[in-house]
Amino acid sequence: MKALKTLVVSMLVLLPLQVLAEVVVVVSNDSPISTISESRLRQVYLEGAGQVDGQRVTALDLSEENRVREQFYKQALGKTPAGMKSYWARMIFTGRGAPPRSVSGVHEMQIMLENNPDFIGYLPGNQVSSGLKVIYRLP
Amino acid sequence: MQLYRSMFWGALLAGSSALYAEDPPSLNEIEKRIAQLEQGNLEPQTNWTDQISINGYLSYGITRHDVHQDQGGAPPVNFQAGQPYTFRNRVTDEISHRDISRVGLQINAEINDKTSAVVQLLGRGRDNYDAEVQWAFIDYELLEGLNWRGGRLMLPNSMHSQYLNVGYAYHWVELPGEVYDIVPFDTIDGMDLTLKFNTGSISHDLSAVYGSLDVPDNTFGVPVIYEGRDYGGINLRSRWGDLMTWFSYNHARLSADLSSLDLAFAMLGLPPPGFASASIDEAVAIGRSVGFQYDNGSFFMMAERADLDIDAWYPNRWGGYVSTGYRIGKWTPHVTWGAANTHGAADALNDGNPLTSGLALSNMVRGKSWTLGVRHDLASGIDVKLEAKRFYDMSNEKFDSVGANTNGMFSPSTLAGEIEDENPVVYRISVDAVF
Repeated sequence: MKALKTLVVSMLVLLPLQVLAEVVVVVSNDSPISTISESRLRQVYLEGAGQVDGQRVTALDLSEENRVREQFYKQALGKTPAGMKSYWARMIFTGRGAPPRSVSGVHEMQIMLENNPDFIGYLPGNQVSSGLKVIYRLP
Repeated sequence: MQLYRSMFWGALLAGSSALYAEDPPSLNEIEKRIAQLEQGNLEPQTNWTDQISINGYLSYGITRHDVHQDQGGAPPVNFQAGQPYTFRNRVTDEISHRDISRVGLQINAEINDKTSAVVQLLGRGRDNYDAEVQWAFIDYELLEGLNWRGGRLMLPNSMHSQYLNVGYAYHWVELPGEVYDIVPFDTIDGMDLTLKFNTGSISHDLSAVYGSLDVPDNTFGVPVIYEGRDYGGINLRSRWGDLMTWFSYNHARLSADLSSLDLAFAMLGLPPPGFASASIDEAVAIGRSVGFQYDNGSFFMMAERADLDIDAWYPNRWGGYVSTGYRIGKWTPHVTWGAANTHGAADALNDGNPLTSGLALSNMVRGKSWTLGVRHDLASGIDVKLEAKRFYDMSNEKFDSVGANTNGMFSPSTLAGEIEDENPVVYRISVDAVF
């Protein structure tokens, strides 16, 4: 009985670690963009930039090692890190584009987005700072 | 202050430390970075490292086939008599470390907001890694979504043509020869114009290309230049969710003076066969391809068909493949069925000229194949791939003439005799990296 109790307590403690935080797409509060469709989000991240509601935006990425980035690409584009690397190899070596520029962490992503309404990025849902607004929540 | 802020954003973009989402930098760390900037790095943000980027790719591959048989015939019909059969004129039954190994280096330079320059050099193992320019162009954005490029470009003949040397970009060790061997040249000197636009949730890249090409060929030991003039084409790549489609149409006038081959025979003391009569004079060449690709991140399937029709003794040829695979973690097993066939050489076969009919029969390629392979992603930007390609049905029963080549993409049976093995296999292993 004691063993069962220990197991239940252990599971309750460990469970929150297994659940990844919701990822949201954000822009600066100064941006006129209020929402983005799934297909347009996909296009912006497949081209590194694009038009949203007539506004030119440039995509930002978290670093390759960041688990939030992996989660974002899996949910938003259905792609693995290796799949995206392969995709960008096709784009770079045909001169058709360059991947979004990477920032080194969530904090840097917040600062970059807050200070430039032309950038679009993604963050864990619980890390949206006051200068940012959510324009899309990943399913 | 403005300069200071610019430097700070620049430093952030450069990603100076790999921080995880769970570890926001402390004030001390930010202060340390600011101090580093203040102490020495006072150059403006737009220095040359922001304007120039260098990327590269490298594939080391080994390959061989399993036809342990020497070519028959004798000179002057077959100068390679007694030597092993070759696959695609190069691979033999001995392991080659050079044939499919290659390296590429690309430099991108941002000249201003609308203009950039790109140079890509390729060195193939089979050419002793001598560098050749594959891409060298200036890209100018005429309007939002409309770009002009001029210089040397990779030809957009088929769905994967423009990155055919970048092994990391696809799941095979090499692209299916049924489609990608049809057109024996891969670059053009000229320009293209690309328009990006959307129709609803479908995004399109519509591109037109125009230029010329000169392709030196040394197959017979003497140089022959194949000249393509007024090369014009149009292609459309459309993307809708996980689905991508491709259409292309290309047109050119092709010429080749083969009289130098007669001189080569004369220098060997042999009677000239009359190659001059087989010279090609502004023959119309038309290439078409259509393809699709579905990829949901785990399962993928793609198919493609390409045709090349040249109004000369060279037989019309088509090829196609269907390929599917599934990504299981870092492993991607895949299977591909391919087919190629030639037709439309009746004029050359019936014109009474034994040389043109002989060339047509030698260049007839018919065969089908199954390719089984697996790709393993070792780490970000590097993979290892293995594959075996088994050919079958390389008969000439359906050709419009008897005596055509029955060896598929191996040394032609019209010169070297028939391969005894009806199901030859080509093996390939590669390690591919991008950086």
